[in-house]
Amino acid sequence: MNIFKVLSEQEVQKLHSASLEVLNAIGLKIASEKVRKMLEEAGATVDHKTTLVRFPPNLVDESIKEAPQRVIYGARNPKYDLVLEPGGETYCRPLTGAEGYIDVETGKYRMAKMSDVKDWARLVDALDNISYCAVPYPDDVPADTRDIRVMPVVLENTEKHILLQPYSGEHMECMIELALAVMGSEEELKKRPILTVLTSVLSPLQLEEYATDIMLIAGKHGIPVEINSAAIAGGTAPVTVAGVTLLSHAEVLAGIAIAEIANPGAPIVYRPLPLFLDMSSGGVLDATVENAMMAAAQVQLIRETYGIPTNMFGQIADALITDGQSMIERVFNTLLPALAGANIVSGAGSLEHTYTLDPVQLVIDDEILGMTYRMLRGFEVNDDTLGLDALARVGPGGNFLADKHTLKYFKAEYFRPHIFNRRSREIWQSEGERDLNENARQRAITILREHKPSPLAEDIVNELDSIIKRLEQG
Amino acid sequence: MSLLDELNTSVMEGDRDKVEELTRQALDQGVEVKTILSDGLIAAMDVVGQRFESGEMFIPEMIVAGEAMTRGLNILRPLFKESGIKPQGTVVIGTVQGDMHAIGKSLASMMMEGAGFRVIDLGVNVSPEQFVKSVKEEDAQLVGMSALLTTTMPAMKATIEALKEAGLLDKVKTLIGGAPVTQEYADKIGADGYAPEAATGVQKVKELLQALRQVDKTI
Repeated sequence: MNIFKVLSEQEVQKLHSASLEVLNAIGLKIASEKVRKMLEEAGATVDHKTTLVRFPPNLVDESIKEAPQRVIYGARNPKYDLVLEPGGETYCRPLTGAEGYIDVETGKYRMAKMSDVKDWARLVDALDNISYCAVPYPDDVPADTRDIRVMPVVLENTEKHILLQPYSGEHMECMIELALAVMGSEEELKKRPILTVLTSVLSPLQLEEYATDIMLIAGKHGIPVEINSAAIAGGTAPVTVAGVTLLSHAEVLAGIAIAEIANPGAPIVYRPLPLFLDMSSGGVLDATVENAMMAAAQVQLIRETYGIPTNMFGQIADALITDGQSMIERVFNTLLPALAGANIVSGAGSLEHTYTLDPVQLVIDDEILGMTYRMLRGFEVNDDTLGLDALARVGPGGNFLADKHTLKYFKAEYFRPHIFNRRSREIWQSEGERDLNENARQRAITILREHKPSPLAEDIVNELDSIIKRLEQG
Repeated sequence: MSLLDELNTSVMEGDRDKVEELTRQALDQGVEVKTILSDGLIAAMDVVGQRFESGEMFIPEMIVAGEAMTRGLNILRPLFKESGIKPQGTVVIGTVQGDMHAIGKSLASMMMEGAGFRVIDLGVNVSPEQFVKSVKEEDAQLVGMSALLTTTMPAMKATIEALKEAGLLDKVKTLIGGAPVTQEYADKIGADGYAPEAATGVQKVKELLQALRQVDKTI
């Protein structure tokens, strides 16, 4: 499959040099004194009073070149290990940190619970096209430590790699402790980190202390960091598509530079998330057609400059419910960055910008992703795939139903969704006239009833428990 | 693995030559024709049918398994009478007059053959007279008609009328199928059955022929 390009060569250059210029001429406010001092030593211009740090282009360029182009996302079960590299496979994870949840039994909206975290992780574990796990943040545990409290639950309910959003450097340390309990040693964890964390630049052009703390601590232990920037066009960024693309790109570059200056070679994933301010409501939009274009442009931009792994929003919707709108939004937003060569297109299961997760949507996203991966695989054109021999065997007026060429290829050539209605109207009617959502719901319920990830060893579970108990005791 | 188990596996895997070889071997070893048929061939196709229903097996695999089964069946067929086996019915099938579309009809035909029926496939553009002639010659119990075009659907009606005029409708069932065909249309023209999908037509054939009491349920 040929790579899809949104930008011309000149536009890539223009955006690239403009981003370096933003970091050089305007700079970022960086809250952490430790980080400011580190950057000063590395050659940045720092005003400790205003906290403004300006980055010489060379410093940004040289430090980002330290970031590995190949990043491993390890998993509790090694068969789920992911390799992020230029031209490599495309992966997906669900949205992280949503607080709203659609109950799979009633179809009603409510706040997420810890039991949903468990269910969600098991669904992710069972769905083939969801590569790794991120979960809702529940409201039935203390809010200030729920980022950590979900971790043992996720570890127990999926064998896949997991992503979390730590609230602080201290929480990052605690997550590393939990990850070590599973992996056994620092060395193993570094080799196959089972955990990735997400942290954000605050637009426009500010980095809070917790964000840099997380980057530095994660980097030290070889835990990959997805660096995020959610610049809002017309609100916290210039209103134009080019302007918000530029700002969120520049902000993520600053984050990567800092992570690499602190720990050269630290695994980083580029993850800008440019947004739009809805000028009729004042709300923030995540899933416009412009978002899709920007994601594709940013993938191209980073691929043609630094070649480090990318994670773009894909299965995303401004729609509040799993309906036609949510499908249109997520298909545009998944397909464009995927075709541009994104390593990860994420957001599976999400609705309502980034506030809500729906198991039904997750099961449907598994199909959208299956189709996306199939499209990315393209098709081979050679003597055998052209079927010339088969055509000669069958000849005019014959059929290929049981030809050996058919038997050889029919499975691998075509993607078969689990939940699409493709039968005749009569069969559909006789089976209860179920629509896509209902088929997805039934599949989710079946998975939740039947799927059991292999359990963690008892001593590991006990260790995770005791770490959480210590956390509870403060 | 016992001989019959091996025969079973060979049918499921669509190994045509092996099925032929094993069927002969079973006869040589004195296994009863009825046993070879039911435990070796039909039992395998039942499993294939279940796997097809559950989505584990697909049309090409089912057809190849059916072809393998037919190879075994062809060896046994001449021995049916002396073994007291009533053959699975005979089906005459074709795309109706004026319609040149073969694939749906061919698929249905191959699936029926795979289910153990004797299938006379008349091809495409089959006139009512050809259907009538074939039913008489082959002593068929079922006529399958296919049409892809709305404009050729009336030929189904004409065929049923021709069968009626020839006095055959009390001994032969009619089954229609094809993209534009509906149950409503089947009722309207007096067809005995309608199959919404080529791949599921086999089930209809079984139902209709059982209704005719032409089928020995043991096979």
